[in-house]
Amino acid sequence: MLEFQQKYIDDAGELITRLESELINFENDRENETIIQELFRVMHTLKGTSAMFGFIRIEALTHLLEDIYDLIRNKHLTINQEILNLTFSGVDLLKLLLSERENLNEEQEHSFEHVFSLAQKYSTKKSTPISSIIKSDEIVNKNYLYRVIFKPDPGVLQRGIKPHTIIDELKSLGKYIYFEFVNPKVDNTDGITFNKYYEFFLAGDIGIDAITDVFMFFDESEYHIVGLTNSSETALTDFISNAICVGDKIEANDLKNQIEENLLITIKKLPDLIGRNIEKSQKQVLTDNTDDTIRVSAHKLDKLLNLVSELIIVHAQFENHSERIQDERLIKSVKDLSKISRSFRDEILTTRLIPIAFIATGMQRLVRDLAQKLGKEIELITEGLQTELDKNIINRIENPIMHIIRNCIDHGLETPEERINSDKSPIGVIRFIAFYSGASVFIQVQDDGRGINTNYIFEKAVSKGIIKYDSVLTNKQIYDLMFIPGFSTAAEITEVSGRGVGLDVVKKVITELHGEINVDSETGLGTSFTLKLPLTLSIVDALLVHVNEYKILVPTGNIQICKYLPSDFFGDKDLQYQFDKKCVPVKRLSSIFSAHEATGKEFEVLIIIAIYDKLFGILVDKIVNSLQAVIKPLGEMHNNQPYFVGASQLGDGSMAYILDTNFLLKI
Amino acid sequence: MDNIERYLSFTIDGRLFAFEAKSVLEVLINRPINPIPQSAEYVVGLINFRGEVVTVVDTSLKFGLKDYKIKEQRIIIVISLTLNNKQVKLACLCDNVLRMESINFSDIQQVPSFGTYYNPELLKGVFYINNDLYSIIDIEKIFTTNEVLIMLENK
Repeated sequence: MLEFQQKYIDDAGELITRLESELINFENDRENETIIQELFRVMHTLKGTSAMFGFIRIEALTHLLEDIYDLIRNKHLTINQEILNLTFSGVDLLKLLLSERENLNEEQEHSFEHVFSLAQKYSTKKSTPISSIIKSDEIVNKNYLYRVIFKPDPGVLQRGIKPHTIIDELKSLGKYIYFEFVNPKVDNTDGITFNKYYEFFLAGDIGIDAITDVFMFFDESEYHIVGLTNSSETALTDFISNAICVGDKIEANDLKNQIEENLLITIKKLPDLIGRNIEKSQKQVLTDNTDDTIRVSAHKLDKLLNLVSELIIVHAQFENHSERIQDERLIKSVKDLSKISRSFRDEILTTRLIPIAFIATGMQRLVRDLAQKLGKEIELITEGLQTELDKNIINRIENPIMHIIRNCIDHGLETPEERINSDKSPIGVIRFIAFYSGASVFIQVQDDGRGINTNYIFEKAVSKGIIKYDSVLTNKQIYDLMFIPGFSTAAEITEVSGRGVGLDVVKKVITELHGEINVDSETGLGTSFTLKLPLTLSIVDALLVHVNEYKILVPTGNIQICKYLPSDFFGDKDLQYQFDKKCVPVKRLSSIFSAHEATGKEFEVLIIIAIYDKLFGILVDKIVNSLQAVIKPLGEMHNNQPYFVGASQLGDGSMAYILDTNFLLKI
Repeated sequence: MDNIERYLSFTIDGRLFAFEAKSVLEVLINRPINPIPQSAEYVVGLINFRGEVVTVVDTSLKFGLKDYKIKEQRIIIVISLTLNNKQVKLACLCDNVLRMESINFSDIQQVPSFGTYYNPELLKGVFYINNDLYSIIDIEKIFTTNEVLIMLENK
């Protein structure tokens, strides 16, 4: 039951996002009927499925919105900004209702009521709905008559689906007659087995999509839809259409006779009312619009990844053995295996990647809302939305990116008047660019606004005590001041930019992901934020080092330099090193990791690491090589230790631990 | 057959213990163990088990068999348990694995609250084979708390 509810939540979330992105399209192209149809269709589906899973408030709100867009598409209502804004607030509420499972707090409740009553106002402007007055000849001429067989699996109730809502939904599609049958073969004395099935005849201006949508939570074997054409079965369609329009009761037997008389050929193809096998040829009708993607749980992918890296390790062992045996054929086979298993791993890794377009709707919405709120005209230009990144990374960077965009719009872009005064187009441009480079993804957010005022930043940093008034800083160093915690001030917390996250938090998230962030700015021309991110969290570039008996992987992302030093260079306590005119604290890893100290070392290696703006040094015994490591979690028992983010298996089967350099901040 | 449960029996320091067979995934012999710095005392290291990183615990320390440390780290029983609502795997060192025992439910006895070395809270029960007493470890209870000594202080 819970599992199915989760599926509903996933699906509904997708539908709402879809709704939002169509809405943004619609706002820019208000005459486009395809978009209106699409909006209507998405709302309709959302309404239906929400009802089925008992999310009645989502259903009620969607219903009102659907009514409004029904009026719009039938040209009984003209779209205006007010309705659009109402719909956007409606979409926000739907998101909220979904995430809070319909339990709103008082404030949220208030805005729900507000939007709800406003929506009611619009939806009741309805004149007599024309669609309900369908004349019989219209049906026959239009020839939209469907025969729908709905035979839910006996276990349907345990899936958390109420079949009668399907019946109600089908009824709402148009004119109908339907029959309810009881399957004598199914025993329902336990009260949870469902033993009914239904045959529907639906007439009206209905697309087959609308009917299949109703069944989105059912397996294809549980329903069957056939469009009845007008050519050879006129008598039948007439008979049914008449019955539907007059509201006659038709006896099942009468109908069956009619069908048999008129539809001898078709009926052979149709599944027997009691039979359940649907022939493949007819199934095609139903599978026409299925997407060519499937939803797989991330957990399963992780397992696959585990197995593949296992394969690579076993392969490495094979390689060792085969080199010893020196059999040419064996060596060749092992080489082939190597190619296959590596490309296998690469493929599995890409399954975790999703296009950055995932957050595009949110960006568009943000730009739209801010433009309206701040009275600025803004155009959002996106490039490289198909660039793919690990889903976990995308989830983590969504808020930081929104924050950067917010900053660009709020602080960077000028008002239209200001822009005209400085000979710019009144429409400001926000550019979002994503592209690959090596194993990294670059994301740039640019604006063509006024640029960063270095004097202002400098003065503010002085007043906050972050730097001294006589410091000499390059522009880049001044930009970096913005990422220091405590830099952003109350004066700056406008309703727009001040949402609890400052640029310091942005930097923190990016660093945690082993990424980098850089700013560049040109006065009067604009500002550009560049994020460099790894493709995936499952792999990290690292240096393999030895510390006593341990093998440690140091992620290369933040390493500044490595330096061999004689082991008597440092003393035992309070180690420090002069680097870049700064005094860098140094930790000897061996004294942190083990009580005993290996003696007789001639050299040690100093590795200088940058964390946020601070530099730290670590001392290790030796550097072995650099490699790409597949990160594996250490497991529950090691959640409390601060030193490692995970482990990685090396080619020789031994294990190395991936250093979490952030621990240096804590000691 | 329904009321027969299977157990894997093993020894530590000459004492007899049993895990429920349904929790046991595999018995590994001579698997190299990778030590990990800065871990709890009873954590011996990590192994790679079916592509996952699994923690090896010194069962004798975890059970609180004081003054005894498993010397030859040869035999590892990999078990599966629920920890914080997650299915996790754990590798337990022991001296020797004996055999699978099929025990009738009715032959499982309550832990005598008096006269045993062990904390009855942490055992699922005991059974006798040829007058030898086997203690059935309650895996979830022992391994979900951080420091549990199965042996009562005053033995």
